[in-house]
Amino acid sequence: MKKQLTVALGLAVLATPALASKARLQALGESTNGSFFIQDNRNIFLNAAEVNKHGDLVTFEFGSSQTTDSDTSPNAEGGILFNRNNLVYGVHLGRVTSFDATTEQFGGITGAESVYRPTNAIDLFIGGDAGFKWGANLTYAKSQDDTFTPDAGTAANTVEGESQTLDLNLGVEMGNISAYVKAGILGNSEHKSPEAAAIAAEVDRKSEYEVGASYKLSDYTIFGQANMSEYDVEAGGADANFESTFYTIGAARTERLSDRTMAFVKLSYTHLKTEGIGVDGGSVDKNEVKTTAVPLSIGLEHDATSWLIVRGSVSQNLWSNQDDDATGERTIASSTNVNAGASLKFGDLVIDGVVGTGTDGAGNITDTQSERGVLSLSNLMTRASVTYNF
Amino acid sequence: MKKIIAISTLAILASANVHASKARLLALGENLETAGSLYFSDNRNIFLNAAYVNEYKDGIYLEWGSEGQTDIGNTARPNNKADTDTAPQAEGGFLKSHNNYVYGLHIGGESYITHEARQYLRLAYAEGTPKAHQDNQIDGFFGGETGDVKWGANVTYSNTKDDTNNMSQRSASLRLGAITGKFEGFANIALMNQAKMDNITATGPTAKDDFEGKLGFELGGSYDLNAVKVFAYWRHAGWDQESNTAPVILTPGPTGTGSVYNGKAEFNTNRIRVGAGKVTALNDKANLFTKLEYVMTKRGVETDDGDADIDDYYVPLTVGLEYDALSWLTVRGSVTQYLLSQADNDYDNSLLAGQGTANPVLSPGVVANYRPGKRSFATTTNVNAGLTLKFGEFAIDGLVGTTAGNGDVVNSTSESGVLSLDNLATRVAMSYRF
Repeated sequence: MKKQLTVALGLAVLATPALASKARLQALGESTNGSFFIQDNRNIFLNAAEVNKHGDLVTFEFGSSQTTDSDTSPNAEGGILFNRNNLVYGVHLGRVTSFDATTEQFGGITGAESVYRPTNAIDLFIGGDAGFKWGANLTYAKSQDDTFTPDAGTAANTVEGESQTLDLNLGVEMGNISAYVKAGILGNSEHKSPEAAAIAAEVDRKSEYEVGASYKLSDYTIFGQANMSEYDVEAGGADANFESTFYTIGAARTERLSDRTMAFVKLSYTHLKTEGIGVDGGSVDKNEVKTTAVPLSIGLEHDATSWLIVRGSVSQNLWSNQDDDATGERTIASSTNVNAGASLKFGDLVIDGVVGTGTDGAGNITDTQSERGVLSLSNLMTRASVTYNF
Repeated sequence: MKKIIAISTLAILASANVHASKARLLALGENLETAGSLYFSDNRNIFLNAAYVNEYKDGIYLEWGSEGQTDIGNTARPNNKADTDTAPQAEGGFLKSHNNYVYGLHIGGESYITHEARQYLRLAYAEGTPKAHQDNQIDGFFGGETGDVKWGANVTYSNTKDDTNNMSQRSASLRLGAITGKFEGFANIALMNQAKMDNITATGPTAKDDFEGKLGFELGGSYDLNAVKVFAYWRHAGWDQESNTAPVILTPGPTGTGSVYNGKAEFNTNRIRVGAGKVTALNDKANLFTKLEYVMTKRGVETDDGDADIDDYYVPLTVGLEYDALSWLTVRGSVTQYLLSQADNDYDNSLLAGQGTANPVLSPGVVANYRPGKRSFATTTNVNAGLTLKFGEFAIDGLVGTTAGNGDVVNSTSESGVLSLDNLATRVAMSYRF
């Protein structure tokens, strides 16, 4: 018997407590930094105005403190948001910043294994309702180390490392329209050695901007996003430059299949162009890579029992093309990805996790592209998180 | 007192009816060489008889697995384009009804049959280079009911390339099916199946492999006689392949790399299955599955160095059980064994030249897998088990017992008799009916 309750919704939501985790978004095939059409606490990192929907909430993401975040080695972070007197404000600690995520790939360019990146990031949030919902998010991280070793295999090369980053995110929601703008205000990293000038390196974020918007039309959400960044890298006396341009447009349809089940289909067009790392006046030319794709995602979330929510998704590029100056054109291979997750509910406390990544067949956890189709109970969940509504 | 109620062979359990997974098919003694079952109902039948979209409309179906990396020897990214029990491929989709029609989309459902054909070349296994198997496949479904006839159509398409070594592959097929009263029939046709790779880096810049599919089709059907359901199936595939590398011919197949033959080869294969199956409701919670069939396969290979005929037949008997144990749990299991079997592999001597030396004409792996001469199939007894965790209309299926004693996952023919809770279920699938 077909039961279908079509409700004109904004963001899809189940009648459950806090839905707020990287694991949940990942299981539904979305970015861990927020979704345009699925309601989740992580959306505060996409559009700061979302804080208005997630007040009186505390969340922890299990992992270790680091400057990278992956399925098999997630980053530890957490935060709290208060809802008081029509204002929502709070703090989030330990997130991997945009500067961290981008500069991770520059290690080999600087002639060293790693760039000195800032840790202990602090995100401050404030938002309110002034006839329209608004929000602001400031991200700051600064670190310093006089005995940083950029080459792990060469302990003798100890340098002085210094790095900081500052980002601002401003967002609004007015009726069915949401929009935000992000700016990288500050981002630099330097490591230098008085004894060995050859291993000095400096990375400077010249600019980073991102804009995004969405519009809810009945069961559909139409969205668009664009991001541009430019970095200068100086290493061993040579200057290099890295540029990235990304945009996406798409639409998602969410449907409440029953009072316990939400499903969605999302289709989008994405384009990413990177130019880097070219060395000015040197022998390394800038290598341009353009990647275009049309990904399709289908997802499902079901309130299975009073204590359990299950979810899953499948995504694949319907079409794709990557054009690399160095190696020519290709289709992006093997893009079919199925993810699954679960939430264990204890009243207003929820434990989220990705399911199916608990083993590679030999007991080691795996990432969300390399699952073995195994439901493991020894590693029942990965990317585990805890969220509590108060 | 034993009560056996014989009803229609499409027996439906009293609880949530979300029968939809490869794991369920395997647990009930089917194999995945044919996309679905010829005598009982499962969502996977939509890939065999497209008319089954009418039976499984309004559902979302996901099969857990990996994205599809295929580096042999890379245990982190196993070759799951072969879609094995230990390295299944990820896929999923939905079916939705609209008035009297059903439409749907499925992604990642590459064909086991196509992969099997291309595996005789390095297209699928060349270490360190992009692979030329089916990839990023899209299946579109459309079906409906007209009078007493349920009909369906499924179009598949896959097209990928990589300029790094001039790799390109394309495939497309059309599957048509109908269900009317006691009769079911289908016709599935391969419209296009091409793959090539130049500059296979593992063996030099001049190395190349070429695969060109010729006529390929599946025809089949079944008729419900009430007492049993009789069925018949015929699959034909033909292709030309060419490999030009001197002389390294490694072992092809799921664990090897390399091409089966250095030169041009023509393949023609035919598989025929005829048999009868029955689903018997033992009570309101248990169904008994029984099947007896005759399976014959003929494979002809023609090369400039000689020909080979690799033929076999077998008569498997399958007995399976599916039991609605609890409101949230269904368990199932089966035993299968060949009552009769024979492999008869005939090679021209010229094709077998050089075996055991550094310059074999034909891949030693093929000769080892299909040994010359006649023999029966050994150790064919296979027991599989599975379960379904049910949450209303949401179900999680999986194979059970496919964990070795040391915690490794094994395939459904190599179990160690272990009920493991570490790896409770393998080949997991999720489905939801709305």
